[in-house]
Amino acid sequence: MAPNKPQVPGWEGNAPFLRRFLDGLYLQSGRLAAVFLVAICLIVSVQVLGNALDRLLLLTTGQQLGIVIPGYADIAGLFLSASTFLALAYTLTSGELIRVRLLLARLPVRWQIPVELWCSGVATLIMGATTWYTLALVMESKEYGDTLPGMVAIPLFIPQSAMLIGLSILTIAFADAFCAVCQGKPAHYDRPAADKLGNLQSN
Amino acid sequence: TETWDMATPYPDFEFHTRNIRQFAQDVSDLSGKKLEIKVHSGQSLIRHPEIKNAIRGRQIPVGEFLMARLANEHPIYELDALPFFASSYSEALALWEAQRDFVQQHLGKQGLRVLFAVPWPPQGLFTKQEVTEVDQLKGLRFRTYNTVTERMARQIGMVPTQTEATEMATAFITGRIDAMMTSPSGGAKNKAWDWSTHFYHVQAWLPKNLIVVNQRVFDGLDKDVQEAVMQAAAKAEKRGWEMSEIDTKEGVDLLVQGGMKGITPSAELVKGFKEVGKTLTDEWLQNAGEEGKAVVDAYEKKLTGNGAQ
Amino acid sequence: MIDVFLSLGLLILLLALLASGLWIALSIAGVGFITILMTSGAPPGQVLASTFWGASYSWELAALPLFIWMGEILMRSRLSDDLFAGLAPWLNRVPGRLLHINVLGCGLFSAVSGSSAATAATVGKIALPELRKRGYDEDVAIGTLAGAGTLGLLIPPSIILIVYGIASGQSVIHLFMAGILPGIMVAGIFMGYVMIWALLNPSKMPPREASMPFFQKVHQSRRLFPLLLLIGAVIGSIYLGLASPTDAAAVGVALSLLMAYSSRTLTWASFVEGALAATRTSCMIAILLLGSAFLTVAMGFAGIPSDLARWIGDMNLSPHILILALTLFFIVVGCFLDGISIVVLTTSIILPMVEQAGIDLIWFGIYVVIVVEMSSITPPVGFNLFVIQGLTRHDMFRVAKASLPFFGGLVLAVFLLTAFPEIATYLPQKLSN
Ligand code: NA
Ligand code: NA
Repeated sequence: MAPNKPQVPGWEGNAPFLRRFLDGLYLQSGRLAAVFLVAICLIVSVQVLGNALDRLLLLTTGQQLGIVIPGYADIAGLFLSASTFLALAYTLTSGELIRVRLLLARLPVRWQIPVELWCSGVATLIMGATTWYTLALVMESKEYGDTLPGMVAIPLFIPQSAMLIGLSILTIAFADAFCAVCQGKPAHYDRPAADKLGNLQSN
Repeated sequence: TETWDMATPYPDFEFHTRNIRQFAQDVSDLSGKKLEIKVHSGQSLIRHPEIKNAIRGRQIPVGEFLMARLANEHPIYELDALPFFASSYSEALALWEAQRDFVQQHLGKQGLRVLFAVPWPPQGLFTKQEVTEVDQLKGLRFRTYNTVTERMARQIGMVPTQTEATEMATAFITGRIDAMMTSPSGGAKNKAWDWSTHFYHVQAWLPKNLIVVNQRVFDGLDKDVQEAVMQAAAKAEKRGWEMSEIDTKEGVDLLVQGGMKGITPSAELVKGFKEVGKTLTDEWLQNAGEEGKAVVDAYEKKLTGNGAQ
Repeated sequence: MIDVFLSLGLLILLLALLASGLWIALSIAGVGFITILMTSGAPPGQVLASTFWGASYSWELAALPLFIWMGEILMRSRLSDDLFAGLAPWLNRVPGRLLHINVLGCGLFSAVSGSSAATAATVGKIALPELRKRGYDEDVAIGTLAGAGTLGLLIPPSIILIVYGIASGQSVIHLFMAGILPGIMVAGIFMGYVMIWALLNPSKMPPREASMPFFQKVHQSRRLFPLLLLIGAVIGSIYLGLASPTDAAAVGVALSLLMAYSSRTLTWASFVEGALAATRTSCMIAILLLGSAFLTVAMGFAGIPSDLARWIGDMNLSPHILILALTLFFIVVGCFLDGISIVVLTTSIILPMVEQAGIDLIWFGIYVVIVVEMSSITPPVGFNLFVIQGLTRHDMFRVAKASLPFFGGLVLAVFLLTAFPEIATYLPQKLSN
């Protein structure tokens, strides 16, 4: 494979800019989601280390520092939410959002395109509506100045924006798949994941 | 007939939920069955953190939540969770009378109308050792779950340890915490004698549950039905406060039966806690500005007024 | 009363959407949307957005991606290979041999994890590739995993026992104690099934490895040491009071990384790969949880499960018949809702009738966990099935078929628990004395 010629199945030669942009968008948001996952682990680990250190100090000196990351559990929960939503499009395009393929696999070939259109079309509608209502949710939180209860008074609209962004990218991904199927090309979620990753990394 | 879905956070055996089921029955009776309220208890419809906003967005017309959960939105909501500020039923009642209009004013901006409020039993201290003065608490790992419990722990010199309510008992057993505050019945329900030895009925604070309706949905009711709702609410508030006192007494009795030691705190301990409470209240007043001062003044006036009667 | 036509209509719609190939999470959410639209005045779109939000940031859920990540790290390190190499000589003469690893692994891991999906995902990530490599029967391998994943709920810590404890006002500590013996019993039933299956199907078992002398076995077992140390440290962090059960998941990840690093199997590339794979798997499960949370809210508005429970209550059955009726009820409702949702939605109707029938509420908690455990391996909404479909790319319905014997095992467990209630009540009673 030539390093400068990314091969996207269904595209001969160079994929157009939009194609590369969208694939990049899905992958980068997925990487950001992974960063949030790592951050959950970090923040909790630091708190547990703090507990262990305190215990050690208590046993040796009889004193404790009381090491506390304020609201670490709340923050970990918000990171989890961000990670989940930002990873959606990436998980979909990797072919890992699960669906029942039992009947799909047994369909005659001429039926496969209409069924795939139905699936990606309905999915675009559902996620589009979800994104729309999430936008309304975020605006409402902002308007009323809702904050998280607990130790850290984070305005709710900030973590909810991660949800909005993730759902928007997922909606784009479904619409993207719908358009591809319309043009008779394979949807991104049917492309082998490894192949796609390889291409992007060679960019 | 109109039917309302009502979301509440607490399970059926809690007196709060029993009171609300009776409230729903009263609304039905008083309105001549023109309005029926279907109670979804124990977070079975909407989870606790989302209940207030669900009422605001008219996903449900009416619901219940713990007022102190809104503390980050405005300090006024935090007053009944301030340790050793209003720490008996008569003080709690005076506080609610002083607080009510302010709370209604703030929730009104979100299109919400307060129906009634009922307090939890006063929070008591659970430990694994005898405590006769505040200094003996120094260095203990204390369960915290919001800013004010964290500040209290620091003030006393305890080690604040964030613990979810669901993990209370297990945290005690594994030694993640050595002390915490909760209601007597809450401790009894979790069989406090399995994991702690001493309970002190220090009556630290009496947090309240608010029952709130969407103003626009309420306005859409016929006048007589509105009246029925308000009447049932007034009855429920009165009944709820009585049920709360009974729950306190039953909880303390169960703890004694279970073999808990302590119970009545020493004068020294109470004095120490009151001092901590004073500091926390002063801090609170600095945060809460003019409005906070107005509420506290109103509260103190009520207290002396009630006392004079 | 129960709207039979509505319920059937929704069921057919769900099956049709799933069969058409629409993503499972979207099918579930779509049916929830239509349920609210048809049965309630609530605005379905707003309920959808706020339910998705509310269900996405819970602290208890944070353990799930962390445990999945731990599985990814161990799978990419030499540790999973060590586990099999260390255990193989000991299990060589036991019928079923390494197939028992799923049950043993899930049983051990249950002492750390409070959820069924996290247990199945973590153990499956490590065990399934190794079992496949060694030529074990795929269907039995995934069946044991799906079945044994449910041990996560029974052996403490357990999210569902906490939820039940709150709803019923029972002591969580007593419930945890009560779950231990039944957990061991269920593990025993599953291992028994694997042995019988292996004896009946010798042709489907891979060839036996050469047996080795005792001292060589012991020598070989040294490879188990790092993994046992890891699990011991994670459990220890909980019982020494250094970490809550959710915190413990992060301890597991940190220690796994450390061990992989010290065994020189951790590279930057494998670290990134593992984190990305964990992100994908947990996202896949999380979106299903969100869809399912929304369907649960919709069922709350429609009142279908509670009406059904009320209908059973109105029949005034004797205790044993009541348990039989409730078991059928939980199995049916469990096809569409996850275990925790079932407990949350129905306890306020079921608990009073159970109390009236004079049934011990601690015992009933353990009973409920076993019956709702079944829901995680029954299609169309079963989280262990989803997890294993995600791990293996085998269709959910094939996984469900492979799990059927273990569903039977859980039914047997319920029968034994009803016949000998002491299995659950012995330990908590001992604690009280
Ligand atoms: Na467990
Ligand atoms: Na199921």
